[in-house]
Amino acid sequence: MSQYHKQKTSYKDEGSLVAGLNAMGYETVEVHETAQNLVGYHGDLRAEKAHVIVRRKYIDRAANDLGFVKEKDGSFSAIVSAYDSTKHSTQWFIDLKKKYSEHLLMKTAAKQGCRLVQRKDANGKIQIRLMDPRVRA
Amino acid sequence: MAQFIDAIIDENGDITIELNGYVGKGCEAVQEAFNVFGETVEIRKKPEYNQTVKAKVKQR
Repeated sequence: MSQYHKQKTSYKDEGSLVAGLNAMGYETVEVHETAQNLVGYHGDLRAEKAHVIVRRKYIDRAANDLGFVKEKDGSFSAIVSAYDSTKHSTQWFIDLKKKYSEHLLMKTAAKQGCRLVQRKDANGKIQIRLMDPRVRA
Repeated sequence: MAQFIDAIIDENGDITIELNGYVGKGCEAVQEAFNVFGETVEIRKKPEYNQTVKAKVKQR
């Protein structure tokens, strides 16, 4: 049985986390108000629970579920199995963080009435310019 | 003067946001609105003309 470990993140926006996972290739993501048990690669119900779950069938045939549990401070911690930590590596989580940040930025910009002027992706950095049409003083 | 929000998401996924063209309280309101990324580690007001605020926020 593959051991799960918990990994703290700063994600607090559930919608952007789901969008980030979608952008990482996981189109089907479960979101639960009450945390649900994760399922291991044998189909066994695990003790670990999560609010945002990518089921193992969408990851790999031999994978365990990937979960994110909502902590008391509102942030989500990732619950990753040791077996899948090659796929869900440090770099994978950095890429997820980038997708999360971009989605949250654009979501916040839309709320503020800002529009995208430019987006550049170069040398691993994403540069985004937004214009705020409202005069604020 | 046009008002722009310039964001850079770096190699580590950390985001830096720079507000350009804003003045005074308007700047602070936008800065607050975009302070959604986690712990604020740096807020720097540029002295020249007091028209720009650079706010760097990082995610762990």
